[in-house]
Amino acid sequence: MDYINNYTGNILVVDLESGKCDQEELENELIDGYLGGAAINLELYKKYRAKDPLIIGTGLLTSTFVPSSCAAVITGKSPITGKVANAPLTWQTGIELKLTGFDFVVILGKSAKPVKLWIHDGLADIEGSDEWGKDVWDTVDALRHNYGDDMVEAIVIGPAGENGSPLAQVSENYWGSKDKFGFGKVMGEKKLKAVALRGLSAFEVADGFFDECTTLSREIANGVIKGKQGAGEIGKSLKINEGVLSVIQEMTHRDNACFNCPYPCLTFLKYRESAKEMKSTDVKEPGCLITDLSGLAAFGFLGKDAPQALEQCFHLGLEPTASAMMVEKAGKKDVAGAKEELEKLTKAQTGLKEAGLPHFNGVSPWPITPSLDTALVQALGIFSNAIPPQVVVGSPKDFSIGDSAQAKAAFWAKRQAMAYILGICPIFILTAPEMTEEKLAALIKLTMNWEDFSAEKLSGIVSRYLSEILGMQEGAGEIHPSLKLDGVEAGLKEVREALK
Amino acid sequence: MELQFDTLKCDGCRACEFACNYHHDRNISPIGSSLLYYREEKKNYYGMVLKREKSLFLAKPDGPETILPGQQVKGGGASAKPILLRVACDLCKGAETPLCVKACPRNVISVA
Repeated sequence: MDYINNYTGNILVVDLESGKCDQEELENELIDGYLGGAAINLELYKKYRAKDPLIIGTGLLTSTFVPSSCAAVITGKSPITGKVANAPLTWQTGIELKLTGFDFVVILGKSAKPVKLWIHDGLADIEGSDEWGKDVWDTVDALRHNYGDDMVEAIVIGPAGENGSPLAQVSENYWGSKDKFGFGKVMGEKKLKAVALRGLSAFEVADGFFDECTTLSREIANGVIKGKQGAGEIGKSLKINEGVLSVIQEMTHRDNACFNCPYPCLTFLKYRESAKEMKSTDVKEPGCLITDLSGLAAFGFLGKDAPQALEQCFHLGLEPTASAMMVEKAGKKDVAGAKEELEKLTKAQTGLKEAGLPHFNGVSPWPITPSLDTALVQALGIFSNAIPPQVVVGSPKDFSIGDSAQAKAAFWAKRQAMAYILGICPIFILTAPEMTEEKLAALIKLTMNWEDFSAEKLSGIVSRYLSEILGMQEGAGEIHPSLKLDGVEAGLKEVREALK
Repeated sequence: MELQFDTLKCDGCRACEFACNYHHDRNISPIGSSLLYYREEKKNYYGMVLKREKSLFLAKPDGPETILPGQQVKGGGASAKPILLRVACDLCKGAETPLCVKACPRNVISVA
């Protein structure tokens, strides 16, 4: 391996049908041509397409000193859209994966009986899963107890995934995820209850890289996001329901940041004890972490009980936005009724499209007033709709984006592709105009020791990726009539063409 | 002179932990750090624990605590324990500013 920086150089290939784990080398040509994350995932997807692969990959910069380099990406065929799609994994999941000693994990076929995958310290084991039948929280607790380590990061499914509901999502530890594409159902069909990660690997780092990264981190912290934090600020940018904004304000305990991120957007809400309580008390489960603001906002009709419904989705492994829409349609107006309905939804075999509810390609929309640019973004169907469909905290002006809806949507898609390929948080990249393509390219050049790398090259790789994945989306673009704003279909065509 | 923590400003991003490891081992990893993120995840109770020369310093959200040899570490769950084996903070001997101070985007850590 020439590339000792940034990657461990290993791809784990797990065949659930044969029960075997193999290790492949992450070839230099793959890194040169595609960098990492969603782009290498797509190459691996094509290679293993016949075996229904689900791929979890880290980015070129995941787990480095680059600000917000927390992300990994799940890539697979979405059972909702029928197309290849990506869901980001954030917080500590991405870094833990890379630290296990594997940069990419390819999960093939189906197991005959429930299993879990334990990846740690350069080793991988397929083990029987006693956790099958447990909810997400009990599963995470059981895994950590079993492996004797509170810092195990887990990608798990709950009852919804086990039952093959299209409303299922994968969960990162206790708190759901940004999976809007039904990868929870895919894991359920594979009889894969959990992927548990723990690693203490080390990667080499180029001289001067640490200083360059901390300089950028400072610049970002003192830039557009200065003095701002939490999910509430993002909610204000998106103009979500005022009631939900008040709930966030009243119940905020502490904000969490994902690995190495200058903007803490993961707000923890406490409602079973005072939000001001900073001690570790006897209340074992005082609240929940907002990892999906759209999910919380969609439960806005429950008022101050919205976070409890979100928590219930986390327990059951349900995609919260779609579930909230189903619960509201069922006429449930209080938390008890909502919980009862959510329990039923874990067995649902139909999703938003079949229920006649608003959707983009079957995927839940942001519960915000529709606008053309945000509709175009959500209709693309490649990246997660849990990510804000526009620039947040700051304004489009900070990023010098053109005024047209098409320009905003094309900017969003390109920015997302860059985040998903490099392993930067896709929310953070929409808050930090200071993180320019030029600066990212300069950091890549430095850390990879690629003398001829440039912003143009980075942009070229991102564009080629978008072009390829958009080519695989032909026939997608189904938009519920309520979301069909004037010009959305023509606009979508234009954006697709512009990105190709 | 020791590192001081304004713990409630900390958001648990672990930039300091990896910076510390970089000082000791010149690579990217959490394994050689004098600083460790610990948490009781479901309670959102988290902070940093620091290995000092002759004690452990817990930057806890409900107030700092120093643990001397022989004393039990309370709170933080199992994730706070492995720090006992770590190398002690040397305030990044030779560097102008400790790397954790430099890396923290929220100015949680200072030297006093």
